[in-house]
Amino acid sequence: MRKRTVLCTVLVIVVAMAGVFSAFGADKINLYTSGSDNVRIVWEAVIDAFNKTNTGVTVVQQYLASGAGTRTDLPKLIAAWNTGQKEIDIDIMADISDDDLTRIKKEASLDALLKLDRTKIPNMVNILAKSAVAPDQSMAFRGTAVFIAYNSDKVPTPPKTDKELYAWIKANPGRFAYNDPSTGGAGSAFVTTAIYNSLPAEALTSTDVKWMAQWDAGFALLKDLHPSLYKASGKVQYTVKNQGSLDLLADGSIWMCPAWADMTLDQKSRGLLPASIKLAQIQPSLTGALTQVAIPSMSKNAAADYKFLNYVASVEAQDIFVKVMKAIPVIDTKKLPASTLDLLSGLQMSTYRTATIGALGPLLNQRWTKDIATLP
Amino acid sequence: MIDRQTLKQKAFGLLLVLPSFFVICLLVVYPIFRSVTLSFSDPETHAFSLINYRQIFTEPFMVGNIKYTLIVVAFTVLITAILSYLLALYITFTDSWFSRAISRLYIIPRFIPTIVAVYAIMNVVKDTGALNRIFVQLFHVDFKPSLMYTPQGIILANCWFNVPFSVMLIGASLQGIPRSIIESARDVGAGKLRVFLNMILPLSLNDFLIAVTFVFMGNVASFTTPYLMGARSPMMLGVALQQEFSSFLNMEKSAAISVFLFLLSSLMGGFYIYKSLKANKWEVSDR
Repeated sequence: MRKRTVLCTVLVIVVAMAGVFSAFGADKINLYTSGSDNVRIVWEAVIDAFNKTNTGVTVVQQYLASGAGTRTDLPKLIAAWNTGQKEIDIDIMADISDDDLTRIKKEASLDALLKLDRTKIPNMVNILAKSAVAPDQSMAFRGTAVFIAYNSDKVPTPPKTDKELYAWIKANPGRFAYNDPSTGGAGSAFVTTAIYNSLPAEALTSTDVKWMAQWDAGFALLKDLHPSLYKASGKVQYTVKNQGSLDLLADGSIWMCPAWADMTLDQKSRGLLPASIKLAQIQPSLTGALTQVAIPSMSKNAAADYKFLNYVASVEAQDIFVKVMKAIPVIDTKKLPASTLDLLSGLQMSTYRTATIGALGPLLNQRWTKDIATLP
Repeated sequence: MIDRQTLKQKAFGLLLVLPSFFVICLLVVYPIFRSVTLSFSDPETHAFSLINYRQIFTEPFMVGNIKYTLIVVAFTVLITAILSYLLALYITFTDSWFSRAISRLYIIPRFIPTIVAVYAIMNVVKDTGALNRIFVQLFHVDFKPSLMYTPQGIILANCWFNVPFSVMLIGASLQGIPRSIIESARDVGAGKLRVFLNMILPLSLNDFLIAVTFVFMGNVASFTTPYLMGARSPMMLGVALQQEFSSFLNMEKSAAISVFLFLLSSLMGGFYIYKSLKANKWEVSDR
């Protein structure tokens, strides 16, 4: 009996020490990622490339598919901050948007995120875009933009401006659909641009509530378009999630819809969307969103976090994001190899606009639900 | 006078219950308490307020959602109840190769993940779905089922998920009825209808009502089916709750919606407890 107790104790100590030593050997950092499966794939590629040139830091991806539930790092961080925790096992929050940052600001505090020390991320000078909510606490690492996806068999010449698009929708009743803006960014970009195109350009990157007073003209436009949109079961219907409209486009029910560039190009490359589906941008362009990374201030591995963020901002990593997921790069595209840029051919990146309206986003969706979704 | 032995036994019994009691307190009671307090707080000032409930019961959009939810659930319960009772009767009291096959097959929907089943149903019933293509190919008729974005579509999918479950419950109850009493009744000349009305129905009514409460509780806050198949307005409360929570970031109002859903469910839950505690007089005399 006694022998066994001693043996067990020794075993426990050995296991514990092994754990401690391995932790000393390399800084292990948890990278929380979230989104569609291509997000997981691209981070795997970036981590692999990072490991080739950086030793001493092990990056572990904690991926949660969107749709499987809400991302876990956000509530975890908010709860940790509100209960005064001193440390957290989230080292980097990746794929966060201005909406997520707004939530952190509202429910916890932006101090829950580390104020990024630019001297420790020398490559950050490459990055041209920044958050409207937390420019000091987050780093943009890719952009995603919404385009008009259209069936080129039915639409030989896609509209070139917003006015032409709206005229096309009215001339082709039932052939255009956009998803409920609260269920996905494609519909959200369509709604946001319809509303903000009649506002001064600066409004699109402002979180000031004063702009809400000027939304009326845009909502009147959406109301005007409503009867000409896709109909099913005798009523105009708004699709659910970005995929909802793409599915209708794929089966021929509609001929045009707003869609994310990366999503569309990826599905085309895998044969999920017919080759006849093409992308075009209108002027002024539909908006995109910045996807960002941030470090919780409670993370104990800031040095390793900075090292990884610096790699994410490098031209090499930016190249991976474009190649693997057809993301819109946030660095000067001249720095990228020409072969990479070919992947994005047809997409006019010079006109790419970012909407960073922060907490106004949820309010906009709320008003859309009240004013537009309820129309007969 | 309680002797030490019984006291010890009682203490031991309590000890065994304690862990689950704490888990329930932590994961069920505490969150409910938090939701209730949150639902009574003003989103701006965090002071006590009824504003969230006032919004739910006065905003035309939310009132529409509540009505819509109750209608969808009522029809789901009604249709599921009728279908499953008939199916349970059929597979319990009919003995043929067909009924035996059905009694093995009816459970299959329980093993298919919700999301897979919803997409499968959508691909069959949508206007460009399998039904439409079959009609176009075979009869050259452009038949559009018009079930997507409608309450009928949601009810159809709900029945697919709930009928197997309630057949299981009701079937178990019907199986429990001793064949001897039915046969003796038949021997003394009772007709089929009389046996059904005077014996089978009263003996299975309790479990039938329990199945109904479960179907109600499982559907009143459902999300996946109405989210994917329903329209964006009106929408079922589960979808509205999710939208309020993760899209509009209105925690207080979503807490109020969840408390309302909780009340609806606990009303039915209370009915279930009442029904299951009330011992059936036939069963008592049986023991």
